[in-house]
Amino acid sequence: MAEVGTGRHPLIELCDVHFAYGQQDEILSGCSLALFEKQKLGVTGPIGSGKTTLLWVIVGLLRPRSGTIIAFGKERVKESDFYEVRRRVGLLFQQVDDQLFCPTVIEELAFGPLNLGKSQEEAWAIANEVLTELELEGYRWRCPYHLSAGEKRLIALASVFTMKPDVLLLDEPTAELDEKTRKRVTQIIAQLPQAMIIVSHDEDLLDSVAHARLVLQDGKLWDEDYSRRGG
Amino acid sequence: MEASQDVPWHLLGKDTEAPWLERVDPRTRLLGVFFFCCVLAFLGGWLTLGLALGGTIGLAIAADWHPRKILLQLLRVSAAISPLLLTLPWSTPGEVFWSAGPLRVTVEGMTLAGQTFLKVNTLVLFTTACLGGLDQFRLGHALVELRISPKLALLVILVSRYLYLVYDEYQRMRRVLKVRGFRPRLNRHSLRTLGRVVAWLVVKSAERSQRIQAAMKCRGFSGKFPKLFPSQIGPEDRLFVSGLVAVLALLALLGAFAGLP
Repeated sequence: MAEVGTGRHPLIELCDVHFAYGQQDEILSGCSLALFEKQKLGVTGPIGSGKTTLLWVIVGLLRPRSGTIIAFGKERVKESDFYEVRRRVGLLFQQVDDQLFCPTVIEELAFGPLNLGKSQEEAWAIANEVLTELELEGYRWRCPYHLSAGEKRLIALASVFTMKPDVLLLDEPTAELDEKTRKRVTQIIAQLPQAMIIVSHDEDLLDSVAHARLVLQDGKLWDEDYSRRGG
Repeated sequence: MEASQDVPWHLLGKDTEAPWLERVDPRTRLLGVFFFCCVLAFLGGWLTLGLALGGTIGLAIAADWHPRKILLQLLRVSAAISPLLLTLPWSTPGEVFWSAGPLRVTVEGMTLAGQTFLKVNTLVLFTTACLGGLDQFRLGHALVELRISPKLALLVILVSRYLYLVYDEYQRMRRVLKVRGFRPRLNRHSLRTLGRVVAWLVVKSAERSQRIQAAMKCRGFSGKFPKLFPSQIGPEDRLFVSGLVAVLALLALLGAFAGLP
C-alpha cells in the first residue's frame, strides 16, 4: 500500500464482511479494507465479483450477514447509523439513469444540499458553484432525461459533489464516456482532495489516480501484487 | 430560459417565455380548478353550461392550445362517456318524447344526457388546461404548500416517476426485441415471448425502482421532496383569479335566474 494516509485512523474500515443476496452463495466472503484520509483506492475485479455490492454495503444500502463496518470512527449497524455515513459519503452509481430524477439539471444538483437542510439560496449557490467548477453551466436548465449517457454521468458526478462529501465512492466513473470527456473526468478526479474508492476497469484512470489497487475476487479483496503472483 | 446570475431571485425557475397560464402559480391553478369544479357541479341550465364550456374553450385558446388539440380532447372525453350519454335518454323516467315498443326516450333523459355532456367536457378541459402543463414536481410541491397532504404529494411525484420508469424499460425491451428480429405474430413463440417481456418488465422495473430509492437515500432523501425555487404570486395570478371569480359569479347568477332544470 502507498504511503498516503497510513498511520492514522481510517475513515472507512471493513472487517471480515460477508454478504449474500437472499439464499444465493456469498458474493462477499470475508472482505476487509481500510480507506485513509486523502487516499485514492482503486478496486478492480471480474464482472459479477461484487464490486458494486461492496460500495452499497459501505453506505448501508445492503446489510452484511456478518462482519463490521466502521465509518468515521464509529461502528455502523442500524439504518439510522448510516444516515450520517450517507451524508458524508458520496456514491456515484453505475447506472446513472437511476440517480437523476429532477426536471432540470440545476434542481438535480440542489436536491442533495436541500435535503441536508440548506436554504434555497444556499442550495442555488452551491449548485452553481459546482456547475462552474466542472464547466457545465450550459446544462443548467436542461432536462436530465434528455441528455446523452456521458452527459448524464457528468451531471450525476456533479450532483454527488454538491453534497460536499468527505469520501467518494465512484462506481465506474468513466464508463460510456468519449475519449475527451474521459480525460476530463480523470483530471477532475485526480485533483479532488477527498479520499475515495474507485471501482473501474479503466487502466488509465487507475494508473493516474489510484494510490493503491485492490482486486475483488472470490469474495475477497486482494492486494493487486498478491493476486498477480497468482494468490 | 436564459441562464444568468443576474436574473432576480424570485424569477428563477419561472419560464418567462411560457404561455401566461403556465406562469400562474401551481397553487393558484389547483385552487382555481377546485372552486371551478365545486361551482360547476351545482349549476344547471343549457345557457349556463353552454357558456361555461364556451368560456373554458376560450381559456384553453388563451393558454395557447391549438383548436385541433381542443377538439381532439373534447372528442376523446365524449367517447369515454358515450355509454352514459347513450343510455341516459331511455333509462331516465319522465315525460315520453318518443317510443318504440318497450323503449321510451324521455325529455328528462335527453336533457340529463346533454347537460352531462357539457359538464364533463367543461370540467376535463378546464382541469387539463390548468394542470396539464405542470410536471409532477410542481404539482407535488403545490400540494404540500397548500397543506393538502405531504403523503399524497409524495405519491404524485413517485407514481409518475415510476410510470415513466416502466415505460422506459418497456421501450428498451421493445428495441432489444426489434434488434433481435422479433416480429409479433399469433403463434406460440410470440405469445411466450410477450409473456416473458411482461414478466421481465415487472422484475426489471422493480429492481430499478430499488436502485432509485437507494440513490435518493444516498443524497439525503428523507421522505420530503425539497424545492429549489421560491413560490411567487405575480400579475398572472391576479389576472387568473379575478377572471375566474368574474366568470363563476356570472355563471352562478345565470344559474339562479334561469332556475335549476
